[in-house]
Amino acid sequence: MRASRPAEQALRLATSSTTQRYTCRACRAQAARQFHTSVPREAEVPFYKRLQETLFGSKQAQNAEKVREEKRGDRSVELRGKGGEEAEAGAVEVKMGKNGQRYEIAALVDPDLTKNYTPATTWDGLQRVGSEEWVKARADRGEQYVGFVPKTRVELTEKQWQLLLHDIMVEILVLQKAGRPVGQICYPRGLEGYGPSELLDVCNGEIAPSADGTGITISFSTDGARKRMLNAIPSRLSEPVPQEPVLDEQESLDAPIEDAGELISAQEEHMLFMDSHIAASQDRSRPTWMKIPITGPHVKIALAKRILQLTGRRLSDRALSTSSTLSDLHHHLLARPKTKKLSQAPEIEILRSNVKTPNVTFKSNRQTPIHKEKAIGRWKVIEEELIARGLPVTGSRWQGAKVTVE
Amino acid sequence: MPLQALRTVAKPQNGVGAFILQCKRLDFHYCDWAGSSKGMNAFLTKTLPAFAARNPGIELHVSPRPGRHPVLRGAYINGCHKAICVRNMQPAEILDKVQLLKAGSGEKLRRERRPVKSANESVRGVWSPFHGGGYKV
Repeated sequence: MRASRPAEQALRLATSSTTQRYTCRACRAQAARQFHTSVPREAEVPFYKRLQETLFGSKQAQNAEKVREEKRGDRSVELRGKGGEEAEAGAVEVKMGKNGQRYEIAALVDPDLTKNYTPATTWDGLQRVGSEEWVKARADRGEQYVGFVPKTRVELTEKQWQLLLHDIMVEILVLQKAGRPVGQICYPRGLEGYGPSELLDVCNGEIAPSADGTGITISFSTDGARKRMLNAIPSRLSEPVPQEPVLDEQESLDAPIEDAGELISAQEEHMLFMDSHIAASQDRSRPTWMKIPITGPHVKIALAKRILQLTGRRLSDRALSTSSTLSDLHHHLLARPKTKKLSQAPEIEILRSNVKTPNVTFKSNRQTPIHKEKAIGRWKVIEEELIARGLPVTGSRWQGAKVTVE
Repeated sequence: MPLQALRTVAKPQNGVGAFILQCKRLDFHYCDWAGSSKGMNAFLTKTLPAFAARNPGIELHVSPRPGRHPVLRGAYINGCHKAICVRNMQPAEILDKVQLLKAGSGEKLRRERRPVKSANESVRGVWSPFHGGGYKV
């Protein structure tokens, strides 16, 4: 019998003997009787019964539901005894689960007792388990996360990028020379870190290769500039204050984050200050300092992080790893991202506007037969005739056809 | 009577007096997404401007055909069109195909059975069984 073969194989594997054992006919017959493709417990229950249970629920489930209803009824009677609204608006009942998890039991609202209760017709504004807000509240546990990347990406000119790189490099070198980790350049500074004197100190720093050519020297025109810069850059991260869990999620999300806004506006002031410096200073093209090699990956990472903080501009890993000098980084920062569409490529833009090639026509969209008919002026006649005959101009009359918009 | 000259009409032959390029228009279709259009995209950005400058008499139309292979299509004065699919070709290969289309006349490709075409009548006369030495049976 075919049904007995899998049972036989199972027996063989279970005994795991290398020698081939003889199985008698009786054992084989018994194995076939014992062999079931379905669970034997369910085989006792007739098919219609199983279907009934699937559709309407088993007796156990129905009994459990009855018990729950009774409990709910008891609770509402209890509430009425306590005094209705006052009890409902009272403390939230907490229950401890199996794994020590804390569950809040939802308040039971009796419509007869609560006068101002109106059942909702839509789900707008109701709490939803599994919604984005719910997930965020559970994941964040009430904490307010503030991103350090500016919301808008700053677009800078070539000169502005040069100045920015110069200023960041000055700060990094000052930290290095003071023996502090260069990563501290990214630590959040208060408003005092962006004062005009601090910005001026940074802009007036001069970077140059050392006399022997092995290192980099940095000099300041004003006294005490180095010290002021070191004081402005904090040496440790301020510890986050533990916040209480926020009950009203929407309010907490909508509330303005004051410190971050001031910080971002201070960063914007820094950029404006730089702009004014470009206009004021004449001798700002210092390509020699850009050729100084960037030593150490920590310096590169500090540079990349600070650029991201100030401008929102990310440098790819490839750009960072292949750059050995500031001029390489500058080149990567100036490079425009590759356009997704060929019609937006700069070469095509030049081709379109080139006076020497008036014979070239570039279309950004697919040219349909309608475009071709319009180009030769035949389309209006076709359209009039279609309308006169009651035919669809574009698309088809079929009810399930996609509506085309011209 | 003096010998009269043959009265013939001047036969027009392209290139004898003036040359008229038969290819009047070239359409370039590319796709932004398909990988087979990579060579075509490179051709359009790098090679097409120079080709357009060297051939001001040919109309060049570039338009996308999303989700399709890149195609070159030539339109000729005789009203015919010729299309060449240039999928997975390099820009240099595409340029060869463009030159092929440009140099074409638009006529259908036919196998030439007679190597010489002439309007002149036969020099020694067309053979007939009634003239000549005859057959000896």
